Amino acid sequence: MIPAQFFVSVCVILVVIHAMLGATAYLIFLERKVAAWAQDRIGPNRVGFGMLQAIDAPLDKLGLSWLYKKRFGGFGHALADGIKLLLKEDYTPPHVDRMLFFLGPILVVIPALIGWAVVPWGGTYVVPDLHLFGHHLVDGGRAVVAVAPVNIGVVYILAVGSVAVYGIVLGAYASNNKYAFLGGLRATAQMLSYEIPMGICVLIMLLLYKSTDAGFMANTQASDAGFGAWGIFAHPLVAVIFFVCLLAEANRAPFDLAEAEQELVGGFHTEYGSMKWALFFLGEYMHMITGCAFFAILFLGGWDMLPFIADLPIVANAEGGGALAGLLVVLLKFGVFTGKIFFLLFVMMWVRWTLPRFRFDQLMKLAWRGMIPLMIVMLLVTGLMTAIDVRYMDLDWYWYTAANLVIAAAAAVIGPRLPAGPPLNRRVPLAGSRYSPLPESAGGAA
Amino acid sequence: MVNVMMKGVIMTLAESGSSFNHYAALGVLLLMAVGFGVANVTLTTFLGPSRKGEVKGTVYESGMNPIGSARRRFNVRFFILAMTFLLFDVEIVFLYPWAVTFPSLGGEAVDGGLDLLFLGRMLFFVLTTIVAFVYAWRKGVFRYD
Repeated sequence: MIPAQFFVSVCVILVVIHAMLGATAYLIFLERKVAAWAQDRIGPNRVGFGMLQAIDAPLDKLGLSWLYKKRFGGFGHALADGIKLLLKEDYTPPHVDRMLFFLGPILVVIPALIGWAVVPWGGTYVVPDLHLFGHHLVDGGRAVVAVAPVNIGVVYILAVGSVAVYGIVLGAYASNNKYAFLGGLRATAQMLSYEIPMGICVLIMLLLYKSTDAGFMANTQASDAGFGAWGIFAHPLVAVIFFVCLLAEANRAPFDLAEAEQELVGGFHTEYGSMKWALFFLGEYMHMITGCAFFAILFLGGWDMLPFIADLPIVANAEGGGALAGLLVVLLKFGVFTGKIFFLLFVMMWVRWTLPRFRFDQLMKLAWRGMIPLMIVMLLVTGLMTAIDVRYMDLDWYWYTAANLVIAAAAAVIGPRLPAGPPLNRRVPLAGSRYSPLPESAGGAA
Repeated sequence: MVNVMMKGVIMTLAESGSSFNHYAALGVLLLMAVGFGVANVTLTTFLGPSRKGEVKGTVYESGMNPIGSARRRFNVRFFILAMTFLLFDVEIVFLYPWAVTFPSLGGEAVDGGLDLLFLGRMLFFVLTTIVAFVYAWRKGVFRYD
């Protein structure tokens, strides 16, 4: 007999892992469409499922020839790309460290594939006793619609998410290429730096929810009895900082210095090709999805449909509803969660095609001299407010909003007045250039 | 002897089934992830054409002739950065259990001022980190020019 939770977990694995791999392929298509939208172009719209022409005779017999004759608005691009990446030449240059070169992409894709395990996709479901051919197959009972409803939840996402940096470093080091090496160094420095403000953001939200369990967090935000509002209303400043850190952790523009094409060719994946190269990108897009799910859990109420009102029941079929009705509620919650994730992904793409890339020193300055001091102050203020909440009076969520706004305003006032370092954008007086102190004719006349 | 040992292992597994099955599904997922990664890398190695050449095998440096190897020294800044990161990351990890326990304390009436003790310890802990941060700042660790 299978316990209810294990049964639900395996169902979630089977559904989400396929949805995720498919979504990743089509996210690249979506990215190109968003780029086209931002740049006032049409974008990819040519490739249909023309590769099915290879089996045209049986398709014609079935009257399905329209499958390969129509274009479907370019929807075949993702599939064609996948087939191409798997079938093209996979070249391993002779100068690389072969073992680590193969290990790099694998180590990138594994954390990306297991990082979403604690995401509570659809609240809690009461599984009925299931029988198959007269055998008692599944024990009934309450189960969380997640792969692993462990109570360290959020810490797990952080931990697994930061393992991905090993793959990038190993791949870059093994390539034995200067571009790849510089890209790997940059990627490491960037991911390390932005993990600290991200960790403090999570810490602040933990003070609010009193738990690290992802499902519990969603419940607290959804129910009237618990917290009542989404995290983003209580901590708007923390939400903004957290989103910026997510962009940096996923190596997304404007933080994509590790693969800055103009400076480093391809960055850490310069020497990679074929499916090994694609695994890096699969990892990146899956990290985006997991990151957006993380943001939705912490700040957007997880599967909760509307803020401030309890619209969906926390346990899907607790109040007399049948198992089927409960399943529909779970699917609805899943849909709401996915909708939030896709909205956040769209924002990420929008940011990518709107903002120019940071310079490396600006990137490090933003993390170490901007976000980390700001978040330490925020942590201290939230800690003191929690002490007041515990000891003297219950503080409602809008007190935290007020604190956030005050700190954001104070940072905006104090920041520009802090002593600035020496100007970094200095013009080097290259002899003969416009900025040279020597007049151009001086050299010629002498 | 072996029988008894096997029995013990099976008994332990059966007993842990109820409390550890949350992680069992995670194990299934991990197996799938490892399988996916290894299978893809293996497949792509064997599928597709393979042609080798002397020029094709050189290091890609935008068409220039490569000078030296990429295995060389790099800026010490990155090392200092990693050390500073360790300091902060360990601090944050230590604060997670605190952040979960502290808001659930009951106040004076329930546990006799334990909350103030908790707050004081956190303040001291964060203060030491702030001192380290200010020291690093004054030393110019965060100056990237």
